[in-house]
Amino acid sequence: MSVEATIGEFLTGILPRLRDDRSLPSWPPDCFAVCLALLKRTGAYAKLLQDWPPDRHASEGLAKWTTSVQETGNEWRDGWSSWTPNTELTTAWQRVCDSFGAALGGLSADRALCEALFKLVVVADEASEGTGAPEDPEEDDAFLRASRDALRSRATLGDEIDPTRLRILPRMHTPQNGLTDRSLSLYLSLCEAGEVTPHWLSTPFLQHESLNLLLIPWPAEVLVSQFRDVTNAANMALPDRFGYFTYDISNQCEDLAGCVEALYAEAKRNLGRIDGVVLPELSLTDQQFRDLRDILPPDCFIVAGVGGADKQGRGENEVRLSFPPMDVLRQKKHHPWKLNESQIVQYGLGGVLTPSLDWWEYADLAERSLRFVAINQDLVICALVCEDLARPDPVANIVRTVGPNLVIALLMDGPQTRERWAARYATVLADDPGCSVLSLTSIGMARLSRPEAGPNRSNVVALWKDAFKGATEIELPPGFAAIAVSLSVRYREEFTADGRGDDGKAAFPILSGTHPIADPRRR
Amino acid sequence: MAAGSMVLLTPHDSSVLSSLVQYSRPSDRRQQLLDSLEKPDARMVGEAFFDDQKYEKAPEEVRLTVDQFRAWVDNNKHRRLQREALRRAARR
Repeated sequence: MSVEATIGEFLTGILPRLRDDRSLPSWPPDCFAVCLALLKRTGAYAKLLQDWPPDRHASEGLAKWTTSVQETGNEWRDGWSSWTPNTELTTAWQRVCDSFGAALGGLSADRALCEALFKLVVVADEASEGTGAPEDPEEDDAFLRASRDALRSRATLGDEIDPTRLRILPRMHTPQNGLTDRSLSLYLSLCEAGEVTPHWLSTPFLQHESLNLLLIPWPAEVLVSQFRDVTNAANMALPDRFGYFTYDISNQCEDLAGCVEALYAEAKRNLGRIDGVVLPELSLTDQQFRDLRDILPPDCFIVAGVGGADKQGRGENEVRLSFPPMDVLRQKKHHPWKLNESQIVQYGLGGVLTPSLDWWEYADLAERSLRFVAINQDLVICALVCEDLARPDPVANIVRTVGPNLVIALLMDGPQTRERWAARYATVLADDPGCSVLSLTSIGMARLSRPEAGPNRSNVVALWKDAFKGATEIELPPGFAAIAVSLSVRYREEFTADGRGDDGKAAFPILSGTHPIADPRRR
Repeated sequence: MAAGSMVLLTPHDSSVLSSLVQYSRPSDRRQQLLDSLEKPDARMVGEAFFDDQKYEKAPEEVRLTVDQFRAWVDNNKHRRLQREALRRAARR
């Protein structure tokens, strides 16, 4: 006979010391995680918010709620290290502790307990404002110092809560649609402990009024012969209806460094400044990436897909993020590409990969990680490689929870038209939590792609989606080799489901200009 | 990067220095962060950021890196003031 879990069993699974020591967690992110995890597990917040706020019949009940929790949060933040919790919070926490023996399933019906948990969540959230992005602190802020230490050393904001149990990360966007646990906080994210290690990193990147990016949809040509059947050489056995393939980029012999240098100079001549260069999935070899880093100035970051093969012939497929003076960050792709009959026909690969089999990309997918690069309060960037954008596990759910301001998706894909898959998943991230998403494929892959019906729009090499407008296709006109795009930041107030606002601090990069760039050497 | 460029910082040291230059008003805190840096070059950057004499004697790549962090601190302050002005304007 099964036995229902109790609130105490659930909470001690997150914070084991609660078995012996039931004092309120003094570090706000710990309190946030313990209480929100319980509300999330039971879904009790949905019922609670059907009659909201607690003092809803009083005049200005919502204003009183938001003011009260903000003031209590500020009080907690200002003196967290030597803080004696105020009576309101100790009463709420005692209500939780008194319920340790109660069944989880009964939580939703206990409104007083739900209100106590919810108050602890939102006060801890208010206490944690500004934990995510490096910003100019007006005055000395011990809480921000400690939170940055925690993020850097343990990749979580948790102190007492070990990341093998739950991970707490900053939040850059709060969903403005739907109702989930993510709708309940402005500054903190609750992430399940998982196989992916997130890294939250800072680098002194200077942000101007706009962020000008040079998108280089390299390579210009992809050959069918670059796809190889490696089934017999692979170290992994599969049923007969499957095979393994790799994509060989070692024979791309054009003068990429010279080309990028010329395009960068031309784009800079046009826009006055280029802040970053972006190249698609599997567009560069390791050496080409190093060459690019050498020729581009340190005030220009690079986000690029780099490929190769290890000594056993297993493919390497990763994104590299270079934000000087920080050394290059590497993040491997998390999911292998699977080519089915439809895609083999779409890309015309039947000459090397029989359409009667399904083909898996033979790639090294170990050591799963996700890098968040915090440039300043307005911009936290992360990059995804192809399928990582589409699959909810293991990284897309973390991305949705954190809501980085800008997601760059590097693809090896067909044209980036509105109706294709990348636009669908970019829209999901733009709607909830509010990320701006840029996807980029190579002109070579876009040209290799042949639609089953309708015109071939192979010049659509990139797509932009933000929270304000529909997806914008970015075309590479004939005779041009790159596109410079300008991103500007728009601020908008975001609200939690309980009615708290962030005072207009949520930052949204928006597309504010596109300019095709030709290689000046070919005029 | 080419010669004459900044010190190449490990991701850890880049993040420590970012904290150091923004959130290091207590001196014991400053020393704690300096001690946690992995590479000697990064430590030189951190020390030169706060000590003009060490800055003057530092190699060019260290000075360039310090300059970058100083510009970044100013940039962050400028952007904060700009954001606050925008919010004030939006409330009117």
